[in-house]
Amino acid sequence: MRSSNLYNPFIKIAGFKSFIIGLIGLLITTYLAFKTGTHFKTGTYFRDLFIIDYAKDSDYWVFLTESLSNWLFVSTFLYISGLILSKSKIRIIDILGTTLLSLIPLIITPLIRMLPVFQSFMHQSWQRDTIEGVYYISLAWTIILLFNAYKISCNLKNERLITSFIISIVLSEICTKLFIKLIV
Amino acid sequence: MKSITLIFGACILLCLKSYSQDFQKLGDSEVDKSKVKIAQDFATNFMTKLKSGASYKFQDEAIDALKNQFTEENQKIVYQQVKSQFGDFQLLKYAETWIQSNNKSIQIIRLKGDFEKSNKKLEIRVVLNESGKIMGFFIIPWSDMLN
Repeated sequence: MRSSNLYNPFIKIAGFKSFIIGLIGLLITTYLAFKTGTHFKTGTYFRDLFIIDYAKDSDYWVFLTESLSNWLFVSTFLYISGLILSKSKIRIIDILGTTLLSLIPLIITPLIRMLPVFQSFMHQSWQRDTIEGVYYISLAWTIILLFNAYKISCNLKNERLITSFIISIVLSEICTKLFIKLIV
Repeated sequence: MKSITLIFGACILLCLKSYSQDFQKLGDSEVDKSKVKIAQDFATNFMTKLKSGASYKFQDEAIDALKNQFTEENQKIVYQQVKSQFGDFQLLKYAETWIQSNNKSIQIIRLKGDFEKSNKKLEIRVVLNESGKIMGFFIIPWSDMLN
């Protein structure tokens, strides 16, 4: 397996195929997040962006809402940015599919929390630091994948690509948190 | 390469040792069921009384400091605060027990409570002393991390 496939699989996989693989990944991630009480989207304040929370406190639909809203907001903002800035024809299925596929690395954190030692722990503990270390690595991986997905799906380059990507990601994070706060 | 691995391993061990584990979670077989029952009965009666608009009358199940803190007026204030944010109390279930590492007789019994308006469960925490008397009672958002 070539290493480039780990951070840019979209040269080979896009469109409907990435949508199906990504959707399966999202559903498995959501199920594991529910079983382990891993919330990816909590808090509503700017300082809370990209934080993770540990609480087996909700029904499955809450976790599903968190996952789906995250994916849909990211896809929507990237699609709108692409429509505004790109001269190429953008297919919505490419954005939806490649974005879904990019979220797969987030499965690592709930997977680790399946281990008994990571299920309940003290606030200041090596378990918490380990989980957060793993989470931020998987988040960085996800962001690299999202960037490449956006770059290929919208055929953008240079400053336009970087600036619009950062704005889209931050806006989608804020909107996801506000939306979850509103309905949960 | 071998020495680097050894240094790296020693660093990890030092890091792990630097965390003081003040509390530890008990396994299911280690939990004292009678203590859990005390906590569950107290929390259920307390919340049900306040929900009905009355106040909870302490007998000898709690220490004096707690009784003095939870006056009739304070009980109503606490319940109103919870109710305005999360709705009326519905039910509670036992979740887990933690003990203090240096004083194993003090038990933290964590219960999960359902509230009418909230899609998230809250923690109802009962702390018991060595003689099984209630010395702490808290209602807080549930977290898998013990604060």
